[in-house]
Amino acid sequence: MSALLRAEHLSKNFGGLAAVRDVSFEVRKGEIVGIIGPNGSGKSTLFNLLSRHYPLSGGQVWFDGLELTRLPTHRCSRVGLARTFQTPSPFTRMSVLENLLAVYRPEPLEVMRQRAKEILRRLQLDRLESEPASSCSGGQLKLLEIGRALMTRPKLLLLDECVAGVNPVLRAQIIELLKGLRGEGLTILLIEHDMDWVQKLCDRLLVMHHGELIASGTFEAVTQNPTVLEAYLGR
Amino acid sequence: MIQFLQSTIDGLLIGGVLVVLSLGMSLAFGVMRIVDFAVGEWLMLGAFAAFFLSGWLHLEPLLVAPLVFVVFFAVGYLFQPLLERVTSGKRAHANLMGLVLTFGLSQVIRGGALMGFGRDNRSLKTGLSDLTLFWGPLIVPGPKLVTFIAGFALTLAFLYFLYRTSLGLRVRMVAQDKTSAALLGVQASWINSLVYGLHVGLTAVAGVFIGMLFTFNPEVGARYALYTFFVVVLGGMGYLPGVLVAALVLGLVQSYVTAYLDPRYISLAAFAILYLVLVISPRGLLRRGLE
Amino acid sequence: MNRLLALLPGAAGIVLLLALPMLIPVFWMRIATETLMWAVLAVSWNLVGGYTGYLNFGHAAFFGVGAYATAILTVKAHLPFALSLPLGGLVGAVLALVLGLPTLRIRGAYFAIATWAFAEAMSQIATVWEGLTGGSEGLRMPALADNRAFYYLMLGLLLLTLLGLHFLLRRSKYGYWLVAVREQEDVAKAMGIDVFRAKLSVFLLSGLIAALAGGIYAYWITIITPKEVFKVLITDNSVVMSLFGGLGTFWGPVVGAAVVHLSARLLWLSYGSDVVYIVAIGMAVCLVAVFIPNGLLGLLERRRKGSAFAPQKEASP
Repeated sequence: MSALLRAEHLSKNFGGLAAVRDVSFEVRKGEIVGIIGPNGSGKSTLFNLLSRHYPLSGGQVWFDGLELTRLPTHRCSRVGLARTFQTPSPFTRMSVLENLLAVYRPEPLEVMRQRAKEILRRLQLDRLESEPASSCSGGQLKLLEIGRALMTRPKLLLLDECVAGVNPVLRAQIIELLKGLRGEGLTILLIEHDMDWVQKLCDRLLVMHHGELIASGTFEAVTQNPTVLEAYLGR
Repeated sequence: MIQFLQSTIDGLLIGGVLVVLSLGMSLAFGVMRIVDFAVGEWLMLGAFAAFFLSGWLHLEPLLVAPLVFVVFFAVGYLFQPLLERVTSGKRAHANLMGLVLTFGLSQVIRGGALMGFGRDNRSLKTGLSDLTLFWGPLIVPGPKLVTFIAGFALTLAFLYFLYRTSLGLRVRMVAQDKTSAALLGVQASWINSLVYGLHVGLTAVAGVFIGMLFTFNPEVGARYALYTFFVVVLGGMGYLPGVLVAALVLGLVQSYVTAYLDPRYISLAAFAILYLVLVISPRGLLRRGLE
Repeated sequence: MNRLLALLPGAAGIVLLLALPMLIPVFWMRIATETLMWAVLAVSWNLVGGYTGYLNFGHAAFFGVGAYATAILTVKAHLPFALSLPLGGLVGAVLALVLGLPTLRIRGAYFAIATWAFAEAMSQIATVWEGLTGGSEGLRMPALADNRAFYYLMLGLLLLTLLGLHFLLRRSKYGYWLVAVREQEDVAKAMGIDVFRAKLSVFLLSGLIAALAGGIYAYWITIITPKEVFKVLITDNSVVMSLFGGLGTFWGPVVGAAVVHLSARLLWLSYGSDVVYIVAIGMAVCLVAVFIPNGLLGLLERRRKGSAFAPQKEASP
């Protein structure tokens, strides 16, 4: 079964610091994979490597048959790899709807407008359509992040802590949303700290520690892995 | 050969003054991330201040320099909170407004000086102009040597303050990491005022030196701003050792171009080099600059 | 019907502008022409400064190069106005490309200093390359037409620019991309926006427009020197006028240009010196930075709902 995303021996150095060290993994189409690990383990750096916001110090990334290693950052979403950011970064001087319209798409504005409205409806943000993005609450901003990513018609969605600081009701709604999206053919790779949430959603987990991938497997397998337990409970 | 040595001497001596001019600027950038577009105007005011003070007090300009330093230190110290207010994070276009404010200030100072002092050239009369040293076949004009020595001393004092006193340590802490410094009890805003005060004070004193060597008028600010940017960018913004090197380099470049090429080309050379360095290596020739 | 009524003040304004030369004495018409030119310069600067957040402190370079290109083509290549002006504009655009490619990669204060250095270097080149530019003596242009014609030329350029930008920037994808680039560059990239290309294209437009203004100016004052067309005042004013009116707003630079230039002229008439103006401009800049960083229009715009491109003349949706 071919992988949608394949990472081989990824590494990233900042000066003397190895933030990501020899990380290899695959994500297959239709999976929801979670990346977990203590703070500073390199998860966000890994995301930035995949979304091409950082250049790789070593290794290769294959996405849908395309080698991403030297792709300019802005081309990623154009080939189907979209991401959200840990701190929601809306375009504050635009309305919620316009935040979605700012996404690069080859189709005409009117067509985009219809799609954007549908996405907002699905995210239950439609009544905020004309409101300035700066007036949205934290949870709404998280949804807006997802909405913008969806506008790019992604095949793979990278979600960076999309439920951090979000109330439990919304968290559950987001699980349903993501499962629904998966049912429509979207593959999801996410970073998260909430184990409970991760258990309910993810098919598989990747565990990172000190920049390395120390375990991979189902939630049960990983949470019983002695290396993982040691990493979380401290050496 | 003699010409080369003479030019080298001249260049190095000027470089010493340029160091004083640029140290404050580099530090201000390092600590507050501010680019002070009014730097040339502070220099010009320093020269004028010395002009009037030495006239009233009947003193050598060099002796007036400490007074100039104190006065301008106070000016900078008092002005800084305004700068702080404009650049604090939540305001619109925060980082741009710092540049804009100092730019506006430079125009106010320049215009005010034009109104107050007129367009005529002045220079600081110093008894030293009669003094000339001869080192073999080489000529070392007195004023140039004296300002170099004074500049050298001032630079040493500044570096001593920064690296050997506890207050200097606190300044360096804030430059490194504002947040951690605050956690350790070092209040950034007070330090910022201190730093900007030092910057303005030093720049004004450099103006006194320049006034002793060259003629000046209210419009010279732009030229010296260029030199300052040149030195600070080449050396790496916020990286003080780089400033020392780059100032001497600029002094030498200026000297050689005057001697061997057309002096009209100095400005062009300076601008072109500055531009190329920024484009190729914005963090300076030694790549130790900030941001 | 609502829509037509909303357009009425705009239409009336345009009619007034067209009729102006016949209503006021030549002295004031010259001032009006200058104001129009400053508006064009401020608008073109604001494209880059306001919409991408890059402060181009060398804007005068485009104006000066446009003036010189037009002048050289007229005087040395004997091209007619109808050719030399557009070509002068093109040269400005090419210069913007040449400057933008390496320089737009650096940010913030470094970009400001680099563009400033570049413009000063251009001025120096014009001074020392005497064979081409006539050195500090400058070039002398043939007389083209009377003052009135230049009023209409500048007006035409301004209207054309505003119209073009209206269609390009407001409620268009390109306009959204620019705001996205200005606000959150990394996020914009994640959303597929070619950030560098966006910045460069805006820079090119800015250069083109400023150069065209320079070309018209060359014909208008007939003698151009490096000191005149590359002077720092050009950049200073463009910045101040845009800031005053409202950085990044559509009409801000136009409003700013009118207020600032007319005030300057009035000051000059009252005090007979340019120097007071310098101080006044400086103070205005400081006040703007401290109290109204969003400019006059920015203050108004914040009270509107949501959209960054709030309707100015159309009826509300």
